[in-house]
Amino acid sequence: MPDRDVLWQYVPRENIVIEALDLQAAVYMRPTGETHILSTLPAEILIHLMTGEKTEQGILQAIENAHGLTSDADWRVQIHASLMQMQSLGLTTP
Amino acid sequence: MKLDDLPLPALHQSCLENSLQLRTGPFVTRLGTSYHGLIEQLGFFYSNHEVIQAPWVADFHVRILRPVSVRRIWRPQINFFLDAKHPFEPYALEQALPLFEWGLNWCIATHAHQFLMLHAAVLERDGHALLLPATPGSGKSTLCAALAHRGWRLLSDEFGLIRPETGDVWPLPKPIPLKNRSIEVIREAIPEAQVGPLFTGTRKGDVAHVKPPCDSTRRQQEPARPAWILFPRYQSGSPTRLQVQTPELGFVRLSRNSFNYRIMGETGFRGVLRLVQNCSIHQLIYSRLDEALRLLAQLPVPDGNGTT
Repeated sequence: MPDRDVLWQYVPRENIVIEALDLQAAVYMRPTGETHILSTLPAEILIHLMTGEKTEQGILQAIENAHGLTSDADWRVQIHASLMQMQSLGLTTP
Repeated sequence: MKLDDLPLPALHQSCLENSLQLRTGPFVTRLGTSYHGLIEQLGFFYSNHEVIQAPWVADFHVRILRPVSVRRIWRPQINFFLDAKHPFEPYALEQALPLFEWGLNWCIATHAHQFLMLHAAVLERDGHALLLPATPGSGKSTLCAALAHRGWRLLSDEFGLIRPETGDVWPLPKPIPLKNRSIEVIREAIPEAQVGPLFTGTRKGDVAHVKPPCDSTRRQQEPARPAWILFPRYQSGSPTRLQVQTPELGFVRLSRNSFNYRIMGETGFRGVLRLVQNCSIHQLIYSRLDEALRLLAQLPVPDGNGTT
Protein backbone atom coordinates (compact mmCIF):
# COMPACT_ATOMS: atom_id res chain seq x y z
CA MET A 1 0.00 0.00 0.00
CA PRO A 2 1.22 3.51 -0.74
CA ASP A 3 2.53 5.31 2.33
CA ARG A 4 0.63 8.58 2.26
CA ASP A 5 2.84 10.23 4.88
CA VAL A 6 6.09 9.98 2.93
CA LEU A 7 7.26 13.34 1.66
CA TRP A 8 8.41 13.32 -1.93
CA GLN A 9 10.88 15.76 -3.39
CA TYR A 10 12.21 16.71 -6.71
CA VAL A 11 15.91 16.22 -7.45
CA PRO A 12 17.94 19.40 -6.85
CA ARG A 13 16.82 21.99 -9.35
CA GLU A 14 20.35 22.62 -10.60
CA ASN A 15 20.60 18.98 -11.64
CA ILE A 16 17.70 18.96 -14.03
CA VAL A 17 16.33 20.70 -17.12
CA ILE A 18 12.64 20.24 -17.77
CA GLU A 19 10.95 21.57 -20.89
CA ALA A 20 7.37 21.26 -22.09
CA LEU A 21 6.94 19.23 -25.25
CA ASP A 22 3.37 19.47 -26.40
CA LEU A 23 1.40 17.65 -23.65
CA GLN A 24 4.49 15.88 -22.41
CA ALA A 25 7.84 16.97 -21.00
CA ALA A 26 11.45 16.42 -21.95
CA VAL A 27 13.78 16.09 -19.01
CA TYR A 28 17.57 16.28 -19.07
CA MET A 29 19.53 15.05 -16.04
CA ARG A 30 22.78 16.98 -15.75
CA PRO A 31 24.65 14.50 -13.49
CA THR A 32 24.05 11.51 -15.77
CA GLY A 33 23.36 13.03 -19.19
CA GLU A 34 20.19 10.94 -19.40
CA THR A 35 17.13 12.23 -21.24
CA HIS A 36 13.59 11.20 -20.37
CA ILE A 37 10.30 11.96 -22.04
CA LEU A 38 7.57 12.12 -19.42
CA SER A 39 3.90 11.71 -20.12
CA THR A 40 1.37 14.19 -18.75
CA LEU A 41 0.90 12.93 -15.20
CA PRO A 42 4.57 12.47 -14.21
CA ALA A 43 5.36 15.83 -15.80
CA GLU A 44 2.61 17.46 -13.77
CA ILE A 45 3.81 15.78 -10.58
CA LEU A 46 7.32 17.12 -11.18
CA ILE A 47 5.99 20.62 -11.71
CA HIS A 48 4.11 20.49 -8.40
CA LEU A 49 7.13 19.12 -6.57
CA MET A 50 9.14 22.08 -7.86
CA THR A 51 7.18 24.28 -5.42
CA GLY A 52 8.25 22.13 -2.49
CA GLU A 53 8.19 18.60 -1.09
CA LYS A 54 4.77 16.96 -0.81
CA THR A 55 3.10 13.77 0.28
CA GLU A 56 1.12 11.77 -2.25
CA GLN A 57 -2.01 13.33 -0.78
CA GLY A 58 -0.44 16.77 -1.19
CA ILE A 59 0.37 16.07 -4.81
CA LEU A 60 -3.16 14.87 -5.42
CA GLN A 61 -4.55 17.98 -3.80
CA ALA A 62 -2.30 20.22 -5.91
CA ILE A 63 -3.46 18.55 -9.12
CA GLU A 64 -7.11 18.80 -8.06
CA ASN A 65 -6.67 22.49 -7.31
CA ALA A 66 -4.81 23.20 -10.54
CA HIS A 67 -7.45 21.65 -12.73
CA GLY A 68 -10.64 21.93 -10.68
CA LEU A 69 -11.00 18.15 -10.65
CA THR A 70 -12.25 15.66 -8.13
CA SER A 71 -9.98 12.67 -7.88
CA ASP A 72 -10.75 9.07 -7.07
CA ALA A 73 -8.81 6.07 -5.79
CA ASP A 74 -7.45 5.29 -9.23
CA TRP A 75 -5.68 8.68 -9.30
CA ARG A 76 -3.86 7.88 -6.06
CA VAL A 77 -2.65 4.60 -7.52
CA GLN A 78 -1.45 6.32 -10.69
CA ILE A 79 0.34 9.04 -8.74
CA HIS A 80 2.05 6.44 -6.59
CA ALA A 81 3.08 4.45 -9.67
CA SER A 82 4.45 7.59 -11.34
CA LEU A 83 6.43 8.53 -8.24
CA MET A 84 7.92 5.05 -8.07
CA GLN A 85 8.84 5.13 -11.73
CA MET A 86 10.41 8.57 -11.42
CA GLN A 87 12.29 7.42 -8.34
CA SER A 88 13.81 4.60 -10.38
CA LEU A 89 14.91 7.19 -12.94
CA GLY A 90 16.45 9.39 -10.26
CA LEU A 91 13.93 12.19 -10.75
CA THR A 92 12.25 12.06 -7.34
CA THR A 93 13.25 10.90 -3.90
CA PRO A 94 11.09 10.08 -0.87
CA MET B 1 39.40 29.62 -56.39
CA LYS B 2 37.47 26.58 -57.58
CA LEU B 3 39.14 23.23 -58.02
CA ASP B 4 38.16 23.44 -61.68
CA ASP B 5 40.29 26.58 -62.04
CA LEU B 6 43.37 24.69 -60.93
CA PRO B 7 45.37 23.46 -63.96
CA LEU B 8 45.51 19.66 -64.03
CA PRO B 9 49.29 19.46 -63.45
CA ALA B 10 48.91 21.78 -60.44
CA LEU B 11 46.11 19.59 -59.04
CA HIS B 12 48.28 16.49 -59.37
CA GLN B 13 51.23 18.30 -57.81
CA SER B 14 49.13 19.48 -54.85
CA CYS B 15 47.88 15.97 -54.25
CA LEU B 16 51.38 14.52 -54.46
CA GLU B 17 52.63 17.11 -51.97
CA ASN B 18 49.73 16.46 -49.53
CA SER B 19 48.75 20.08 -49.90
CA LEU B 20 45.40 20.18 -51.68
CA GLN B 21 43.17 22.22 -49.34
CA LEU B 22 39.57 21.51 -50.22
CA ARG B 23 36.65 23.27 -48.56
CA THR B 24 33.47 21.28 -47.98
CA GLY B 25 30.99 23.45 -46.10
CA PRO B 26 32.53 24.53 -42.79
CA PHE B 27 35.47 22.13 -43.06
CA VAL B 28 38.78 22.32 -44.85
CA THR B 29 40.51 19.05 -45.65
CA ARG B 30 44.17 18.92 -46.53
CA LEU B 31 44.44 16.03 -48.91
CA GLY B 32 47.26 14.03 -50.34
CA THR B 33 47.28 11.10 -52.73
CA SER B 34 49.44 9.76 -55.48
CA TYR B 35 46.67 7.68 -57.03
CA HIS B 36 45.81 9.28 -60.36
CA GLY B 37 42.46 7.53 -60.63
CA LEU B 38 41.29 9.22 -57.44
CA ILE B 39 42.63 12.62 -58.50
CA GLU B 40 40.64 12.41 -61.72
CA GLN B 41 37.46 11.50 -59.84
CA LEU B 42 37.98 14.31 -57.33
CA GLY B 43 38.42 16.63 -60.29
CA PHE B 44 34.97 15.61 -61.52
CA PHE B 45 32.98 15.52 -58.27
CA TYR B 46 34.62 18.48 -56.54
CA SER B 47 35.18 20.72 -59.59
CA ASN B 48 33.02 23.51 -58.13
CA HIS B 49 34.36 23.30 -54.57
CA GLU B 50 36.68 25.94 -53.22
CA VAL B 51 40.39 25.22 -53.11
CA ILE B 52 42.31 27.26 -50.56
CA GLN B 53 45.82 28.16 -51.64
CA ALA B 54 46.87 30.34 -48.72
CA PRO B 55 48.38 28.67 -45.63
CA TRP B 56 45.46 27.30 -43.64
CA VAL B 57 44.80 25.35 -40.46
CA ALA B 58 42.94 22.43 -41.97
CA ASP B 59 40.33 20.50 -39.98
CA PHE B 60 41.48 17.14 -41.32
CA HIS B 61 44.78 15.96 -42.77
CA VAL B 62 43.85 13.05 -45.00
CA ARG B 63 46.03 10.92 -47.22
CA ILE B 64 44.83 8.16 -49.52
CA LEU B 65 47.81 5.96 -50.20
CA ARG B 66 48.65 2.68 -51.85
CA PRO B 67 50.45 0.26 -49.53
CA VAL B 68 54.16 -0.38 -49.88
CA SER B 69 53.78 -4.14 -50.15
CA VAL B 70 52.85 -6.86 -52.58
CA ARG B 71 49.27 -5.51 -52.41
CA ARG B 72 50.48 -2.62 -54.54
CA ILE B 73 50.45 -4.95 -57.53
CA TRP B 74 48.57 -8.12 -56.49
CA ARG B 75 44.88 -7.36 -55.93
CA PRO B 76 45.94 -3.77 -55.33
CA GLN B 77 44.61 -1.95 -52.31
CA ILE B 78 44.43 1.56 -50.94
CA ASN B 79 44.45 2.99 -47.41
CA PHE B 80 42.82 5.98 -45.75
CA PHE B 81 45.01 7.90 -43.33
CA LEU B 82 43.90 10.58 -40.91
CA ASP B 83 47.14 12.14 -39.67
CA ALA B 84 49.29 9.07 -39.04
CA LYS B 85 46.41 6.71 -38.25
CA HIS B 86 44.54 4.51 -40.66
CA PRO B 87 41.24 3.72 -38.98
CA PHE B 88 39.89 1.33 -41.64
CA GLU B 89 40.92 -1.88 -43.28
CA PRO B 90 42.34 -1.30 -46.77
CA TYR B 91 39.92 -1.05 -49.69
CA ALA B 92 40.33 -2.36 -53.20
CA LEU B 93 42.23 0.23 -55.22
CA GLU B 94 39.34 0.90 -57.58
CA GLN B 95 37.18 1.89 -54.57
CA ALA B 96 39.41 4.83 -53.66
CA LEU B 97 36.65 7.42 -54.10
CA PRO B 98 34.09 5.61 -51.87
CA LEU B 99 36.91 5.17 -49.33
CA PHE B 100 37.65 8.90 -49.40
CA GLU B 101 33.96 9.77 -49.06
CA TRP B 102 33.26 7.39 -46.19
CA GLY B 103 36.55 8.27 -44.55
CA LEU B 104 35.84 11.98 -44.62
CA ASN B 105 32.34 11.34 -43.24
CA TRP B 106 33.95 9.37 -40.42
CA CYS B 107 36.35 12.24 -39.69
CA ILE B 108 33.43 14.66 -39.43
CA ALA B 109 31.20 12.36 -37.38
CA THR B 110 33.93 11.65 -34.85
CA HIS B 111 35.45 15.12 -34.54
CA ALA B 112 33.08 17.96 -35.42
CA HIS B 113 31.40 18.32 -32.05
CA GLN B 114 31.03 22.06 -32.45
CA PHE B 115 27.87 20.96 -34.29
CA LEU B 116 24.95 18.84 -33.21
CA MET B 117 25.22 16.24 -35.95
CA LEU B 118 22.17 14.43 -37.24
CA HIS B 119 22.34 11.55 -39.68
CA ALA B 120 20.18 13.32 -42.20
CA ALA B 121 19.92 14.67 -45.69
CA VAL B 122 19.21 18.40 -45.72
CA LEU B 123 17.78 20.57 -48.48
CA GLU B 124 16.69 24.18 -48.59
CA ARG B 125 14.03 26.26 -50.29
CA ASP B 126 13.59 30.02 -49.76
CA GLY B 127 15.83 29.92 -46.69
CA HIS B 128 13.86 27.11 -45.03
CA ALA B 129 15.62 23.81 -44.45
CA LEU B 130 14.07 20.38 -44.84
CA LEU B 131 15.74 17.71 -42.70
CA LEU B 132 15.40 14.08 -43.76
CA PRO B 133 16.76 12.02 -40.85
CA ALA B 134 16.81 8.37 -41.70
CA THR B 135 18.27 4.96 -41.24
CA PRO B 136 19.97 3.07 -44.10
CA GLY B 137 17.51 1.68 -46.63
CA SER B 138 14.87 4.33 -46.03
CA GLY B 139 15.36 5.98 -49.43
CA LYS B 140 16.98 9.12 -47.98
CA SER B 141 19.71 9.51 -50.59
CA THR B 142 17.37 8.76 -53.50
CA LEU B 143 14.94 11.39 -52.32
CA CYS B 144 17.77 13.81 -51.59
CA ALA B 145 19.34 13.44 -55.05
CA ALA B 146 15.97 13.96 -56.71
CA LEU B 147 15.02 17.01 -54.60
CA ALA B 148 18.46 18.55 -55.24
CA HIS B 149 17.54 18.64 -58.94
CA ARG B 150 13.93 19.71 -58.51
CA GLY B 151 14.01 23.16 -56.98
CA TRP B 152 15.68 22.46 -53.66
CA ARG B 153 19.25 23.40 -52.74
CA LEU B 154 21.32 20.50 -51.49
CA LEU B 155 22.90 21.19 -48.13
CA SER B 156 23.99 17.64 -47.37
CA ASP B 157 23.11 14.05 -48.04
CA GLU B 158 24.59 12.72 -44.82
CA PHE B 159 24.88 15.36 -42.10
CA GLY B 160 22.42 17.73 -40.51
CA LEU B 161 25.02 20.09 -39.01
CA ILE B 162 23.16 22.18 -36.45
CA ARG B 163 25.01 25.14 -34.97
CA PRO B 164 23.90 25.10 -31.31
CA GLU B 165 24.33 28.85 -30.84
CA THR B 166 21.89 29.78 -33.59
CA GLY B 167 19.94 26.63 -34.43
CA ASP B 168 20.88 27.07 -38.11
CA VAL B 169 21.82 24.11 -40.25
CA TRP B 170 25.09 24.32 -42.17
CA PRO B 171 25.71 23.01 -45.68
CA LEU B 172 28.11 20.20 -46.38
CA PRO B 173 27.67 19.52 -50.09
CA LYS B 174 29.46 16.33 -51.07
CA PRO B 175 28.75 13.68 -53.71
CA ILE B 176 25.52 11.79 -52.94
CA PRO B 177 26.14 8.04 -52.78
CA LEU B 178 23.35 6.07 -54.42
CA LYS B 179 23.20 2.38 -53.67
CA ASN B 180 22.03 -0.56 -55.71
CA ARG B 181 18.57 -0.05 -57.24
CA SER B 182 18.42 3.65 -56.51
CA ILE B 183 21.18 4.27 -59.08
CA GLU B 184 18.86 3.32 -61.93
CA VAL B 185 15.92 5.08 -60.30
CA ILE B 186 17.79 8.40 -60.34
CA ARG B 187 19.27 7.85 -63.81
CA GLU B 188 15.74 7.39 -65.16
CA ALA B 189 13.89 10.00 -63.11
CA ILE B 190 16.56 12.73 -63.12
CA PRO B 191 18.46 12.36 -66.40
CA GLU B 192 20.33 15.63 -65.89
CA ALA B 193 21.90 14.40 -62.63
CA GLN B 194 25.64 13.90 -63.09
CA VAL B 195 26.19 10.34 -61.93
CA GLY B 196 29.78 9.15 -61.67
CA PRO B 197 31.27 5.70 -62.18
CA LEU B 198 29.70 2.58 -60.72
CA PHE B 199 31.65 0.95 -57.90
CA THR B 200 30.60 -2.67 -57.66
CA GLY B 201 30.96 -4.99 -54.69
CA THR B 202 31.64 -2.34 -52.04
CA ARG B 203 30.73 -3.02 -48.42
CA LYS B 204 27.39 -1.33 -49.14
CA GLY B 205 26.77 -3.07 -52.44
CA ASP B 206 26.97 -1.25 -55.76
CA VAL B 207 27.51 2.48 -55.31
CA ALA B 208 27.48 5.43 -57.69
CA HIS B 209 27.75 9.07 -56.66
CA VAL B 210 25.78 12.07 -57.85
CA LYS B 211 27.78 15.26 -58.23
CA PRO B 212 26.37 18.08 -56.06
CA PRO B 213 24.67 20.72 -58.20
CA CYS B 214 26.78 23.81 -58.88
CA ASP B 215 24.50 26.20 -56.96
CA SER B 216 24.70 23.98 -53.90
CA THR B 217 28.50 24.11 -53.92
CA ARG B 218 28.63 27.83 -54.68
CA ARG B 219 26.47 28.53 -51.63
CA GLN B 220 28.22 26.06 -49.35
CA GLN B 221 28.75 28.61 -46.59
CA GLU B 222 25.16 29.82 -46.54
CA PRO B 223 23.23 28.21 -43.67
CA ALA B 224 19.46 27.83 -43.47
CA ARG B 225 16.79 27.80 -40.80
CA PRO B 226 15.29 24.36 -40.07
CA ALA B 227 11.58 24.34 -40.93
CA TRP B 228 10.56 20.77 -41.66
CA ILE B 229 11.64 17.42 -40.23
CA LEU B 230 10.58 14.54 -42.42
CA PHE B 231 11.36 10.92 -41.64
CA PRO B 232 11.31 9.21 -45.05
CA ARG B 233 10.41 5.55 -45.45
CA TYR B 234 10.47 3.84 -48.80
CA GLN B 235 7.80 1.12 -48.80
CA SER B 236 7.32 -0.79 -52.04
CA GLY B 237 3.80 -0.48 -53.45
CA SER B 238 2.64 1.93 -50.75
CA PRO B 239 0.61 5.03 -51.58
CA THR B 240 2.49 8.26 -50.91
CA ARG B 241 1.41 9.87 -47.67
CA LEU B 242 2.54 12.27 -44.97
CA GLN B 243 1.80 11.40 -41.35
CA VAL B 244 2.12 14.01 -38.63
CA GLN B 245 4.56 13.04 -35.88
CA THR B 246 4.26 14.42 -32.36
CA PRO B 247 7.13 16.56 -31.01
CA GLU B 248 7.91 13.95 -28.36
CA LEU B 249 8.22 11.18 -30.95
CA GLY B 250 10.26 13.53 -33.11
CA PHE B 251 12.52 14.22 -30.13
CA VAL B 252 13.13 10.53 -29.49
CA ARG B 253 13.76 9.74 -33.15
CA LEU B 254 16.08 12.72 -33.69
CA SER B 255 18.13 12.16 -30.54
CA ARG B 256 18.61 8.50 -31.49
CA ASN B 257 19.52 9.51 -35.00
CA SER B 258 22.22 11.96 -33.91
CA PHE B 259 25.91 11.07 -34.19
CA ASN B 260 26.80 12.99 -31.04
CA TYR B 261 23.67 13.68 -28.98
CA ARG B 262 25.14 12.16 -25.82
CA ILE B 263 28.57 13.71 -26.35
CA MET B 264 26.95 17.15 -26.65
CA GLY B 265 25.20 16.75 -23.27
CA GLU B 266 22.80 19.54 -22.38
CA THR B 267 23.70 21.43 -25.58
CA GLY B 268 22.48 18.45 -27.60
CA PHE B 269 19.29 18.25 -25.54
CA ARG B 270 18.53 21.92 -26.13
CA GLY B 271 19.45 21.62 -29.80
CA VAL B 272 17.05 18.75 -30.46
CA LEU B 273 14.39 20.42 -28.35
CA ARG B 274 14.63 23.61 -30.41
CA LEU B 275 14.29 21.60 -33.62
CA VAL B 276 11.14 19.77 -32.58
CA GLN B 277 9.60 22.91 -31.10
CA ASN B 278 10.16 25.02 -34.22
CA CYS B 279 9.72 22.57 -37.09
CA SER B 280 6.74 20.73 -38.48
CA ILE B 281 7.39 16.99 -38.14
CA HIS B 282 6.13 14.28 -40.45
CA GLN B 283 6.82 10.79 -41.61
CA LEU B 284 6.81 10.38 -45.37
CA ILE B 285 5.92 6.94 -46.67
CA TYR B 286 6.47 6.60 -50.38
CA SER B 287 7.06 4.18 -53.19
CA ARG B 288 6.90 6.56 -56.16
CA LEU B 289 9.53 9.24 -56.39
CA ASP B 290 7.46 11.56 -58.61
CA GLU B 291 4.58 11.55 -56.10
CA ALA B 292 6.93 12.24 -53.20
CA LEU B 293 8.50 15.16 -55.08
CA ARG B 294 5.08 16.62 -55.85
CA LEU B 295 3.99 16.33 -52.25
CA LEU B 296 7.15 17.94 -50.89
CA ALA B 297 6.93 20.80 -53.40
CA GLN B 298 3.67 21.79 -51.69
CA LEU B 299 4.95 21.71 -48.12
CA PRO B 300 3.60 24.79 -46.36
CA VAL B 301 6.16 26.87 -44.49
CA PRO B 302 5.74 26.47 -40.72
CA ASP B 303 5.24 29.55 -38.59
CA GLY B 304 8.25 28.80 -36.41
CA ASN B 305 6.23 27.07 -33.73
CA GLY B 306 6.04 23.76 -35.51
CA THR B 307 2.62 24.42 -37.00
CA THR B 308 1.81 25.13 -40.63
